[in-house]
Amino acid sequence: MKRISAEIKDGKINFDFNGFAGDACSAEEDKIRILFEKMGVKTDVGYSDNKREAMSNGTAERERN
Amino acid sequence: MSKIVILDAQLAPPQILSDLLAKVAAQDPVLAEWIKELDTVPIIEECVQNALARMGKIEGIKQCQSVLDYYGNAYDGKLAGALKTDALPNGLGVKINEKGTIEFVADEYQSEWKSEIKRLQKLFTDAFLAEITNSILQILGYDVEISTIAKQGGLIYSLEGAKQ
Repeated sequence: MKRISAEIKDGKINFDFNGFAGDACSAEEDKIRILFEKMGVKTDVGYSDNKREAMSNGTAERERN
Repeated sequence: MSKIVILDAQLAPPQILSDLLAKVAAQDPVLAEWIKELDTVPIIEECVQNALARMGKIEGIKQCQSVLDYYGNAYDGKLAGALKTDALPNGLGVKINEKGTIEFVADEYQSEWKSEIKRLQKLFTDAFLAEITNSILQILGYDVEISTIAKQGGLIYSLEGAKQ
């Protein structure tokens, strides 16, 4: 089961992706961001956590960038 | 696997970013082509209407259809809708131009009107972001539940999406 939670306040969207294997997480993030742009919402990544895990197929320890 | 991403979001003209499209196309070329051709204006219009309806349920905010200037003249352009409060009796209009860009219409002649316009624009933007996020997650195949949490004098929109 893939789960995405989103909290929105003051123009910030806080996404929490769960249940994705490896870099599928980043691929889903890319799809979401391109659809935002297409729907008139410009997005910049203000913070991203656990990128190494996503890029290393889940073998790396969870760590903050 | 989990990941947290915080996006800073601003309303802007609808566009497509070639670097993001290339990344999506590398994973899923059919989806990338579909996104490229997708007419998002009807989705934007629906999300604006839903956001206005959500705003109309907030205490002290009324949903309406027109805005007036300082002299009481009605704005004669096409509006998707408008919002009024006691602090902004002439209203804040929301319009969608032919390219799908959201624009606001209001007379900010008085300083208290100006600050209320900014407050309503922020509230509307969050409500619209919630509706757009809901639509995007549904497009990507998620079942979505959306709720509103009142916290520290403001509103937080919470969405939970799940798919197999």
